[in-house]
Amino acid sequence: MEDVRRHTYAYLVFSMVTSLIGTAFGISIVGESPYIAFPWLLTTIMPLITSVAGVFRVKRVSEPYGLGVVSIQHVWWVVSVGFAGVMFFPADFFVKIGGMMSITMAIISAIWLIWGFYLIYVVHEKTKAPVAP
Amino acid sequence: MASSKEHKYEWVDVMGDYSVVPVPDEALRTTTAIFFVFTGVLACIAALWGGAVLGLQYTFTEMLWVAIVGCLIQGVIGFLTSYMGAASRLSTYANMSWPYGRYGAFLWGLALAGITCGIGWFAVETWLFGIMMHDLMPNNLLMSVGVASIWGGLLMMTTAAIGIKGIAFLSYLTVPFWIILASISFSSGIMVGGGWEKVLSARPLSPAPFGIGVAQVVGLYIAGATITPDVTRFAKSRVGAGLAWFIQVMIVEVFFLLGAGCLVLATGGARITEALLAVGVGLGAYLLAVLGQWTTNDNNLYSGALNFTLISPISRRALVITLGLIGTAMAAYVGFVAGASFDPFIAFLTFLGSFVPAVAGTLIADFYVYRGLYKKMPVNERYVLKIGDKIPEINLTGWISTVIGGVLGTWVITTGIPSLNSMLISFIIYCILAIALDKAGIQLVIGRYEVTKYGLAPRWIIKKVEKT
Repeated sequence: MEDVRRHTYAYLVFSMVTSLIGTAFGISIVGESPYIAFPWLLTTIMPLITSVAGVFRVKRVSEPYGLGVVSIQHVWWVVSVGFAGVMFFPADFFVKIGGMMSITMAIISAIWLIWGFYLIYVVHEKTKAPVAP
Repeated sequence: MASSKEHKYEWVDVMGDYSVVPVPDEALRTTTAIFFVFTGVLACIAALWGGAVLGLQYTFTEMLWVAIVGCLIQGVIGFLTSYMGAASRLSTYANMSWPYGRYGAFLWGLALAGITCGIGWFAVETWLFGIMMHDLMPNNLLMSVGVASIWGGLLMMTTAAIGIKGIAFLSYLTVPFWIILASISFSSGIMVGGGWEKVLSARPLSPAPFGIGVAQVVGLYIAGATITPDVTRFAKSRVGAGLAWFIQVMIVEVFFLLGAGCLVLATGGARITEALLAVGVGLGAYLLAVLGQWTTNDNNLYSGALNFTLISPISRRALVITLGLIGTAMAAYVGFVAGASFDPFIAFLTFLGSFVPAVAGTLIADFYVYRGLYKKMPVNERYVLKIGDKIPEINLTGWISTVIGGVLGTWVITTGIPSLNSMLISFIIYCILAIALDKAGIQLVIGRYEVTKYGLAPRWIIKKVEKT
């Protein structure tokens, strides 16, 4: 089960680092447009919190099924946020203010989404935890 | 006892998805899953329209307090019913078998959840979905109110037919997505409409007293607060189940109500999806409408079908499909005939918000006061299904308290909050009646149903199963 744990860690650490970068981007545009910064920061802070919590919870679980349940739960948060990010970061409204930062966040969101879906599938297959535990 | 880990699971689930038997250990779900399913129900356009109505009646500060007080009332009611469901591991209608009797549970469930929340609410939400689609693409035939109602209703039926697994899957995918998209709609709409300063200084178009707003908020989701056991019977933790409800109401619902209300204060209208289209999040606007209605309506249908499993000769899945088709046909009919009229929705919401809480009042009184404080029964023994037990077919105590509470609260008492009046009156009447009758040694019960290994399944189903 260590491969599942490692894979989950890798995903959550990636999401943690990228959402921290995204949060920094969001803070940098607060002065220019707080109306754009608000959903932007919501999109980056949500996966940041859930990834940090996920790393600690995954560490504590020892049996495979429990590990699968905890991993899938935390990955879903990031996947769903990634789904939203793919929808709105490339929109003109955000690109006009965010520029390359917005494009970068759209790419990061796509990675959250695709990698997350794959990880849920892998964890489900290996631990037999439900896809929506 | 089914809820005890040391005992073997002794039930046979003939109706599917543990509709009429206790949920076994291996099917239980985490507090997070319960939270996601609840929030999935809340995340719908109707909730935002509820907030928009507040924006027409109150200033920002008034709206904040109205939303907090209304949601707190819903939160407390839902916490109590959620906890009850997690303790019994039975659906709302199965739980209702104790205060109302088995037929009483079906009939009351049919009136208030089977038809209202089930087919009725499903049809209304499907019709609203059609309106939303039509607003987004007015010149497309597939997006006309009637046609969109048809394909939308069929879509929403799919996850309900799969059961809790399908509903939970869709909720996990949708909830954070929906919260973010809604926040974009709020913030971009407010920005376009004149900014935060305008929201804070705006005066409402049709000012209303505080109590009216609280009643509207409570009415918006009180049916959901009443039928929480349909979801929390799958919860691993009783307190977790209650908190999952309370937190989603106090944080997510307040956010939705205030966001939509602010949008109205800034722009004068609840242009939720239009705001997304205006800022170039076109696909997001469609998905906001589709997924929002879907995660709400599959629960409506699921819950409605659960009620029918108490007497129906067909499986839960077949019931979902049958009820889904009827609801879709109703939505399409209203869509083709009434177009985009908003009146039926408002009338429906008003009635629902006033009468349904009487059922919650009776259930809470029976579980917490009569069986808890008065009979001093432990929580996990209050609503426990045991093979060989005899459950009343009709228990008039629940009927009397609910009828009086509902009628007085909805039509007679004109002060206060109607939904809360109904609930409190039925709660008080049930407590007095049940305790007084028990002390006098009187039981207002007609007939008895013996619980078998098939739980509360209808007798003809049991006969059919045993023959084969």
